[in-house]
Amino acid sequence: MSDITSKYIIPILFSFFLSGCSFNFSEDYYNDISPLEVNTAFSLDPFEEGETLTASKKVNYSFNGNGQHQLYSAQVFVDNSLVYGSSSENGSFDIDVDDLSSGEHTLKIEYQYSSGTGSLADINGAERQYGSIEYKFNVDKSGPPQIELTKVEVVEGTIQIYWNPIQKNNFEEASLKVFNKEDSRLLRELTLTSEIIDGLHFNDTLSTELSIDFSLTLKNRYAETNSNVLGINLEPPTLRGEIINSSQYKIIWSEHPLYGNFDYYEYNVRPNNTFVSLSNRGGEYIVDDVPVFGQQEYHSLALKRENGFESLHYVGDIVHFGIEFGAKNGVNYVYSALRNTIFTVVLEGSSSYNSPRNVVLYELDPMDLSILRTKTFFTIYDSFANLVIDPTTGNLVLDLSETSYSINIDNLDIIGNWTASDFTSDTYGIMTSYRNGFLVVEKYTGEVSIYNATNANLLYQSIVDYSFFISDDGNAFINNGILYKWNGTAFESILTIPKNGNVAVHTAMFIPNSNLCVYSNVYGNPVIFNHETMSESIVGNVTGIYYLNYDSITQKLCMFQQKPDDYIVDIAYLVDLNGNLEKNLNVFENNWGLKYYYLNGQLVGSNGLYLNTYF
Amino acid sequence: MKLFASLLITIICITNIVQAQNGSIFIEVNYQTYSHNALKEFQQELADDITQVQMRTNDNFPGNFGLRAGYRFESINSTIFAGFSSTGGKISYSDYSGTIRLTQPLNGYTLGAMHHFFLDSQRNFSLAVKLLTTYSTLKVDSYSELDNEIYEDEIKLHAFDYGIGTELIYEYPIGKLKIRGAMGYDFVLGGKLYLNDNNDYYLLNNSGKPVKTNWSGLRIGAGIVIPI
Repeated sequence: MSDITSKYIIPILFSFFLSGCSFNFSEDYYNDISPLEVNTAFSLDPFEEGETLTASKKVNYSFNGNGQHQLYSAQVFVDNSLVYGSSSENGSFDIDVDDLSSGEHTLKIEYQYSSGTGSLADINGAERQYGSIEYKFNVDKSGPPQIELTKVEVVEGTIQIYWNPIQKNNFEEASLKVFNKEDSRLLRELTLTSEIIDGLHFNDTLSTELSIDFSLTLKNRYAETNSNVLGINLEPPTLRGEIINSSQYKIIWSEHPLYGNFDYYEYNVRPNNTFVSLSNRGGEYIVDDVPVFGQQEYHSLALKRENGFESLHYVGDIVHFGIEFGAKNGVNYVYSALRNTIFTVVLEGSSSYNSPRNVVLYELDPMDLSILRTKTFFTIYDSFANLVIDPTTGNLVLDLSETSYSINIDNLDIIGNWTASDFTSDTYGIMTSYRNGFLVVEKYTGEVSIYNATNANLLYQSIVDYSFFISDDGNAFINNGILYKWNGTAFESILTIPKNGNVAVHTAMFIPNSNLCVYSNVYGNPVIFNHETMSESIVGNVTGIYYLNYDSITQKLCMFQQKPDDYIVDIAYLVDLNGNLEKNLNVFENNWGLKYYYLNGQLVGSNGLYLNTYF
Repeated sequence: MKLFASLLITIICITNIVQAQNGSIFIEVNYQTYSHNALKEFQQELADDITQVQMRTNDNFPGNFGLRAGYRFESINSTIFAGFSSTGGKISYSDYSGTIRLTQPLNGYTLGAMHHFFLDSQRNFSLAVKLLTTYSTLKVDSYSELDNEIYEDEIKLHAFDYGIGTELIYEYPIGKLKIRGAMGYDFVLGGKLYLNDNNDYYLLNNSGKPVKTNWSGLRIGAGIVIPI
């Protein structure tokens, strides 16, 4: 081989092959991508074209790329001012109306999203699609409209309130104000939702007051308006007592008009202050406590809710167990068998010394003591008056201090009068009574004179040791412990009632149209004495009687005893004419002239109360 | 290129040295298969790491033609040789908007010696056993193009590999030259691929194991022999 071959050819060949043997790489992989149809949605919630904003609003947005497109950016413009930007596909932004004037505005959202082709440019965010949506909206900065209440009614024990629809729902707060009707004091304020306002109706289940007004207030950041005022004025539930016997009474209450707004009543049961739950729909509850007729005690029912800590109010009433009547403060109440009515006379006027007082005669229904007739006779300046039925004529006899009048019971005309000055010159401090042909003049200083009313002859005159008692027909009287009876020409003593030391007869009365006289003996026991047969029956179970009267209808005696150690409670006893004690009852004594009369089977108090149960 | 120039100078020098010896020079083009499993796995990991697009594997360190040249000392029945091997890996993705490409050209520069056991009296057919060492170079070239912006990066690594092999060689005389055919198998232990810029670091896969070359494989070649 030549030197050229060995030195150069082989290395050159080697080098040539060396370069030719270098590895050649294949072509790049090419992905032929087809154009992709854009499928996106951009939505706002809650927001609608043309919407009216009365307050700032948070608007939620949502971009839906259907799994192919990715949101790169969303920018929110209000009137071309950028207010929000984000790359999140879901989010929210605020439209702040504080910065906007009233009127029309533009909300525009510009957003960019991936093409979704999956190309390298798409993957790297360099291949973007653009979208834009635009809304018109209005800003309303006016105050809320005034709402009009149309009706407030109570249905099934709860309060239903209605109002007319409002034109604009541009309020942010709504409340129902509840006022006390009497003094307009705000009792409560209930927040109402816009749904309730739209519903035009609200059920107030909280209010239990019976006289209340309602007003609806709508408020937004610009103003507040108040509706007209409508209310309810409900009759309060009644609460009264009814005597069952001398040691029990019933509490009777009516349904509460708003029974649906609370669950039950709580009642404090006397005398041990125990509490019981009572139905708010009305009912009766028997109390084992001694009733006192005429004593005014406040009984109350506390309104309660189950598991409720709110302190509700009470409903209640004065319980006296009686029924009120109008002709109270009568000086005497008498029953007329002729008219089957009750009469009384009332001195109407100031009770001050020497004040003028009208002498007013009332005729009352014997059942409910409602006033049937009334007649004013005189004006007097003292306080003495008395009224009796003349047993012989059936007419009325009205006794005043100086004159006694006979009044026709049918037409109430004065048909006769007898004045003390026609019989005696000493007329200072006297009481004058005409009794069936006799005129009785009794001095406050303790002297009594009986005249023949026809000829003014003095028939009897004596001091009065304690009290003077004369029958309505004038034929008998008791004075100084002696019973006198008219024998046709003079009053003769027929019975001397024993005294206990210096204690004389405390009380006595004559039963009209009979020969019976009732008085208390030295032991305080009432004695029913027949002065015709001179026989007596003693009511042994009763003692200490200080006052008594007689009911000609039931033919029962009603006797009153001051309850020991209790200055405001007396005990009334009902006794038949045989002296049998039938019933007893505690009655209220006010130590101010309060008297009770047993008439037509009812206990009538001069305080304007009568009792038609039990007694 | 620097390495290529060095090899060329080295061969020229060897040619000059052996001019006075009794022997022959051969040059051979051969087809080689490789076992770069670690590099294949590493490339797959790279492809898997890019999840946004479907990267395709274009080349996965396949077999390739190589070159070998050497000088046989007839007196001692031995040959020294130098060789060149080249393969590579490539993953890529492209569409109308851009390209992502990751190429990993791998070259091996081998020096070795073999001893012949002649199987005929004319000394044309021999069985050779050999020792070899390979210097491997790997480049990891990344390329991306998007929206007319190009990004390129290149990481260079190298490794030293050692192997043994055997082959059957037949030389057929034609005039003063001989036609040479050879077939054998090389078993090469790959080395760690160190960064050229910092020899303290070498390539690891996602499991934390070193990524190594593996040039082991069949060698089938043909060439010419020039007696000297």
